[in-house]
Amino acid sequence: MKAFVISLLLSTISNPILCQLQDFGDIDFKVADSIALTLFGEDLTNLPVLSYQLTSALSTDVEKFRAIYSWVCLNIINDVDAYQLNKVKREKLADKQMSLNEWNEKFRKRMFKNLLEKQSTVCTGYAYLISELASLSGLRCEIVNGYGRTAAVSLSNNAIPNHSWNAVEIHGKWYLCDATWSSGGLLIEESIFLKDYNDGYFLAEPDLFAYSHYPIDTFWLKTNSKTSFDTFLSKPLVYKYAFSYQIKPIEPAKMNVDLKRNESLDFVVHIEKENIAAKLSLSIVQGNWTKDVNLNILSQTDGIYEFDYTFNRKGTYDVHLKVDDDYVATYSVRVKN
Amino acid sequence: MDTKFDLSIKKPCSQNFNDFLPTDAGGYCNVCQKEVIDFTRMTEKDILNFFREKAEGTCGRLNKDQLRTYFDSYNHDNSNKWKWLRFGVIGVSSLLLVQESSAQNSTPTIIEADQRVQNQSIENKMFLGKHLVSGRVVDRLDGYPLPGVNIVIKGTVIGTVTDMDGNFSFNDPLVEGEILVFSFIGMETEEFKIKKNMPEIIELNMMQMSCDFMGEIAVNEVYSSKISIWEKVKNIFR
Repeated sequence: MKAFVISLLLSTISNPILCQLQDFGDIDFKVADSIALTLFGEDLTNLPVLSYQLTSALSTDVEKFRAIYSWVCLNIINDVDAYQLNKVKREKLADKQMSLNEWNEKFRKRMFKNLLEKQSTVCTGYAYLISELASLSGLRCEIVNGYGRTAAVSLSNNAIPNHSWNAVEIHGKWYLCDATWSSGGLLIEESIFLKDYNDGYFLAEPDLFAYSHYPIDTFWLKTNSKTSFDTFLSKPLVYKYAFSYQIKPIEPAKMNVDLKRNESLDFVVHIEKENIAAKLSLSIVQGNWTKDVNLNILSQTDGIYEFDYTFNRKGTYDVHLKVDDDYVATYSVRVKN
Repeated sequence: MDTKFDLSIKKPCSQNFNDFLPTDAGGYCNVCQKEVIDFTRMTEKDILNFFREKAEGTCGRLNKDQLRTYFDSYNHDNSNKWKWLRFGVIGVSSLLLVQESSAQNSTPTIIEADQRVQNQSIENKMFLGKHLVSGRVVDRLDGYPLPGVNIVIKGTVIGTVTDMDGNFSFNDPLVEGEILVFSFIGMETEEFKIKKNMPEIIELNMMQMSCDFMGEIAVNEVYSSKISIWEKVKNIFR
């Protein structure tokens, strides 16, 4: 299956203020983003100079990081073939440390070569580039390795790390970001990577980030309290729109829910913006059958919304939270008599 | 960064130097109420020394070929001292050119010397040593040369690249305190600070980045649970 990339025109950054950006007052990234745009097409043959060109005209650290982040998301292509090959190899060699290391050596060399020559890579390459450009501009920036949860991945307790992202220190505080996931997504069947920038993973809110990213070193969770790997595996599945719309499903706490028929399923969701809350809906799916439901909001306080839904029939349902046509989160509900 | 100044005519003077009352350094001009320095009897070294101390607004008597750019490089090594002097006439007003009849005109002209210092931090830079830097970059693991490595002066876009044998050199000397950044994709970036007692030729090792490669891509698909045949059958009768 030959994979190729479709490059869309860069979609403009939608919501200007996202969770962690509250730390930076009324900052506007127009200048940083436009600098990144003017350097579109630059190659990676001279990283110190590229870093300088991206950041020297900017006066704040957050803007410098933004310019770098935007540039990487704009310019770097996701190597779907390499991703699939590496995934298969890593799963196959999961128990064989020596062989896994050997494979990694080979793969790593090839990855850096591809990055330099074709500006194409897998997520660790993105993370490497972000951390390198940021470090060259004077910022402390690390690659964080761990586990990423998507609809296409079923992680078990024995899973090996499968994803890399970044942590950057700005004014003494660490912020999390995921350039790979910001830059777009894979259409599984067509094996096509669709470039579609999502701002939600730039300086993401750690609690929500921890629903889909779990670092090997829990130091990088950056949440108020540390969750265990098991808890991470059991959480509702969230998608990029949860981040860009700033919606966090709180109850049910687990993705898999067991329910009795006619027993109500109670939801608690944190929604940052009221106008977004008005567009939230449920989509109940069972096989080929789908039902879209408007929410019956029971209460609303300080961004915390409560609503419920009752199942009349037995069965296993996929319950999706949506904003318009965008999927935010998924629960798997099993209804018994 | 060299310190340099241009000796040029700001205001040509119409006075006759021979009318001035002689002083130790030249003559006294009644019109400007100033001592006019006679640079025609000075060597380049003397001129450099003079302008190191003096502020702007010196009146002087110079030969035409003394009206040029002077590069000041404080350097212990005397053999290199004059390496940095560039020769070129600058800042000469067109009026003066008309008045001068030949390049080797020995008739001195009185000018008000205009000292423009290129480098603002002259006090600091003047006493920092400079080094002509060159070297070689190799792979720490196997000792093989690394071509294509970028070497950039930190905080600038000035730099060079290693050749096929891993060699590099900077044409212009580097100042103590400047930092060289060695960068190549896939290798750990190294820094090297220009210091007083640094080796003449740098031999630098670079390490491969030792990261594990993984790559879970975000997917546009949404979760869908597998349903049993029994569920499928039930749905038909819904």
